[in-house]
Amino acid sequence: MPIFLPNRVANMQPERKLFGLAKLYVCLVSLHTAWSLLAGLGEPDHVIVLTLTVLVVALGVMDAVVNDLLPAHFCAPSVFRWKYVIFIALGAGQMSLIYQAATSYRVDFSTLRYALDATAAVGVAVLDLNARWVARNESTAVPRSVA
Amino acid sequence: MNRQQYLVQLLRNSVLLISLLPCLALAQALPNGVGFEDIPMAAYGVTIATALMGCIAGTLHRMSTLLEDRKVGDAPDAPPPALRYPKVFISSNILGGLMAGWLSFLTLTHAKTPSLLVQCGVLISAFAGAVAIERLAAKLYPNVKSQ
Repeated sequence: MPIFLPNRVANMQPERKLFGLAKLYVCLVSLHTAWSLLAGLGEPDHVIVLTLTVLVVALGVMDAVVNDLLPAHFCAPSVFRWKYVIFIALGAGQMSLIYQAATSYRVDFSTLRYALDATAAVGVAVLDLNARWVARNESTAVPRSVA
Repeated sequence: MNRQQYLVQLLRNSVLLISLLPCLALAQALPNGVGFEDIPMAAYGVTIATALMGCIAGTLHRMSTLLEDRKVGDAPDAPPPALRYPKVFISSNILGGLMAGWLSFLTLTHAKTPSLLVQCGVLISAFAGAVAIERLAAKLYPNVKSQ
């Protein structure tokens, strides 16, 4: 199914920059959190999770930079189709840190920060879909005729 | 409903009920010696939150696929498609994701998987379950009005 990206992106160019910056923030926060907590520990499951986090963050940064921050004629269709899954996955990575703290009975107030980061990731994904849907509706709206 | 349709429905329901028997037998064997009682309630709550995030990812991905893309041959000013049964769409996504996420949590915890990988499995299973159940529901309730 082809994606007519330039038509839709051109309709909402100013908001695209803001969404791109928000996505970059979510990606960098996720990478910083995972790297500061898991790097250097050496356990196999930590290495696997860190590798997955780096891969997903790289895809998220690609989506933010190519599809949102660069001009409209630049696009990455594969990442564009899966962008919502990428950012929900970053949010779920934050929730997995809370889960690990909960199973170790180490949940405290500072653990809430991961929940806020997860909420930001989910919010960026949901608002991005809503903005693209609104932009598409506005682009195809039939103008009223003046009597 | 004629006799043939009734018999087809009866056969389908019987197959579904019989296929549940192995799952019930496995569920009865799961709690033995696994230590689910050692997992705190906060961890169960985080697991449900992660499964919900998988449901949201599946929902957003299907919504973007159904509602965002223009197809080849569509006029540029063609009205955008809309969901015909939005409640069925949302409920099938959430129900499928929660069931798949919870089942994967039980399975991975029974297999003594590290906690971080348990959450990765819950997220992936919830996403796959949401998409799968929604596609099954779409056979009975086609989603897009233009279809």
